[in-house]
Amino acid sequence: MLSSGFTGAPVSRSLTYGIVAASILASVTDVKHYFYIQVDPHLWRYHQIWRVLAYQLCYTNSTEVLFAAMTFYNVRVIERLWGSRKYASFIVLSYCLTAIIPPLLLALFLRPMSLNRMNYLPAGPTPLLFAILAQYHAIIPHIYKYRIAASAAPPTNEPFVGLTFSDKSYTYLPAAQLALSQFPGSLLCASIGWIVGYSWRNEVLPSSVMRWRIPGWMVGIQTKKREEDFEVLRRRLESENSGAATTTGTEGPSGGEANRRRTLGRQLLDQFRNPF
Amino acid sequence: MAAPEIDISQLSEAQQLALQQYTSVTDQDIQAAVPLLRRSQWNVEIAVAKFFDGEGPDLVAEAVAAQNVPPPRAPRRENLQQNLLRGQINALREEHRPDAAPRIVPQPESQAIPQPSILLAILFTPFQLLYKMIAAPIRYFLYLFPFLRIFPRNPTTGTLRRVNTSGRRPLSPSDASQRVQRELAEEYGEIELPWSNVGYATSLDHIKREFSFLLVVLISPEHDDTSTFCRETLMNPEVVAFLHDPNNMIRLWVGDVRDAEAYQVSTALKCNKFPFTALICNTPEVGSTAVSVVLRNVGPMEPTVYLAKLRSVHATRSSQLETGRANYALQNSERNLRREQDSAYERSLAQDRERARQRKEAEEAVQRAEKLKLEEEANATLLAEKRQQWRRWRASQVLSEPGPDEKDIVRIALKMPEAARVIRRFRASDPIDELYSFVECYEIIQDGGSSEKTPGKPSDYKHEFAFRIVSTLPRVVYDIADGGRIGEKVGKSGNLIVEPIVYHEE
Repeated sequence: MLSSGFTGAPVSRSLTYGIVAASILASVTDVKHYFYIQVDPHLWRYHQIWRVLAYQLCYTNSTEVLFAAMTFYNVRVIERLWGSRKYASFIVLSYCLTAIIPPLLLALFLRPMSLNRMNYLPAGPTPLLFAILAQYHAIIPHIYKYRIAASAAPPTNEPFVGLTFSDKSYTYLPAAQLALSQFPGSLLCASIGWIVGYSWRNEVLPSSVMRWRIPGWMVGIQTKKREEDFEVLRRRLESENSGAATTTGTEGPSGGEANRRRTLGRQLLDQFRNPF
Repeated sequence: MAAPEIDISQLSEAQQLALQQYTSVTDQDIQAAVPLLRRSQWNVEIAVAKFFDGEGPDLVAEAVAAQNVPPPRAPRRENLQQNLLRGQINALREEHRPDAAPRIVPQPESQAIPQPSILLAILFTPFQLLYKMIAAPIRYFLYLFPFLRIFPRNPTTGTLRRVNTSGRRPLSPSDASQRVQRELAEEYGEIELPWSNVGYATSLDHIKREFSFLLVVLISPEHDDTSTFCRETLMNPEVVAFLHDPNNMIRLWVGDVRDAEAYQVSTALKCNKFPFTALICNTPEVGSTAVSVVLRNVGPMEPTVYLAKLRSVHATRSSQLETGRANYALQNSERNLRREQDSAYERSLAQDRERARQRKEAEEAVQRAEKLKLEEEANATLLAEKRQQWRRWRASQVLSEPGPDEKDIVRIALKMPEAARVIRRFRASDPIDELYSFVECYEIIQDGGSSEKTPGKPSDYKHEFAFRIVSTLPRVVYDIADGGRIGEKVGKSGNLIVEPIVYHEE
């Protein structure tokens, strides 16, 4: 499960490399200023609604890139647990929700309530990351716990004073850094992300939305073609015919199949060859 | 130490030598030295070091080690160069060597902390208050407008339903495996699998000992393919029959990766894709006690393909395990034989000891009896001496016979046991005691005033008369214990018989 590398986690790999590449690219091409939202000029005056969709594409800060890449890497276990397709679907859905909710909340509620003080929404997929972290928090069990004590060692009667951590804390700490890096906008993003992930888990969203999956080809799953259906039928037929012979199973069905699978050209050729 | 007495003769020669060396250096007494030497496994240098430097922490370490018996682990040594090259070496080796299946023991719950710390509680108090202040009006609002309730509610209690939001409750391995079984039964109906309901580590130990197979099935309930896998593969009658067949010797362990144990197992077995099935068995080619993963069935799979893969690997490994089992049985029988021999020897040794002990006890009993007899004899002579002394003393105290002219005289004819007949006069006012004393001391009185000076009354002695005086026709016993005076009891004259009291003891 925790084996290093991105084995069995192609979506996480794309996300990690993607966020790093996009941030570097944005930095190199000097287009960082397109990726954050300032409610006052950008939305109210210039009506740049596209910024809502774009603001999660990259970070403008190398520290944040580092921590985000680390966290995406750490939460790749979720993809392994869910399967790539479900994970990708969840990310697409969360992206849509977190693209709309934080700017909306900021523009319509928080900015007027803070007397136009809060105007800035930082760039970066922090909401998405926290939506995934909510899943991580819920699914992954802790393997061990430890505590940093401010009181005396165990054989005493004093109540324990100190902090309790688990092995999952190492994942949360960089994420916490992300949430606090551009206070208060980043904290808003993080909390909205967490709430989105939480509501996905709690089945608050309509079930049709939760059941929706992106097409399989996007994550490299070949959908069953008609041909394969026939393949299965033929295999079943074969096993019925041969009966007890296959139950020993040492050879396996794949051995016989390889010989049988013929290309269309070969089949045509055979058709013609037979009469001779 | 439990055994306070240590028999030096029971130590082997080498041990005795070590003891000698040790005591010559430290001058400690043997009773204390032997346990210390035993603790240091008869290594003189270690023992001496322990004696002079103290051995406090070592004992504690031993106790701790004895308590939780850590599984022995091979020391792991690697360096940077090996690390860098390891990827390639592993890639080369992977075709021949199956991956090891390590033993996983999750952190016991007793070490986990049941309550959050006070510090955190204090930190979160304002947030909790805030939540309550906000939640109360919202709840009231929702009560007024029930169609706004978007959060699903528990239909029975009406409270908000909580769906796996903060992870599962950690349980002990066996409980967790039972929970997995129950959950699968709830979700898919009863699955007829050979459930074992023990932890992974226990299962692994079992198959290691039995030379059988362990089928590890890891399930991620939130994975899209899980339900297909459970319905079509795990519930497939052929798969179930294969797993149930006792000839196949397959143990099953099913884990839910949301449990800590199964999560660790999934890491250890290098599981990157679900549904995951691994076949684990002893692999003698890796090491004599090594167990390894010999097959991984990863990802969605047709039940027929799944079973075919399982069968092929199972068949190739079965014969190997058979030989292993036979070897083990052979070794085991040898070991049993040796153990029986040992126990027979121990038994005969115990018998000999028992016999020696009995002999010793018998001797002691004889000695004790003799001693007792001697003591009794000494006592008897002492008693006789004292009795004689008392008689002589009493004889001097016996009142003289009153003259014939005195009044109130009782004439008593006494028939002594020696058939002699004695007639004596007594004063009527004399106590019965006087009569008894006269009879007792008659012989001495008969001898006349002996020239020896009369001895004093013996101390620590209460005289008992070995006779009683009775009158015949009608028979009346004049018991000394009744007291009274001679005049009252006997009358003017009497014809009395002295009856020796015979104790019928034997």
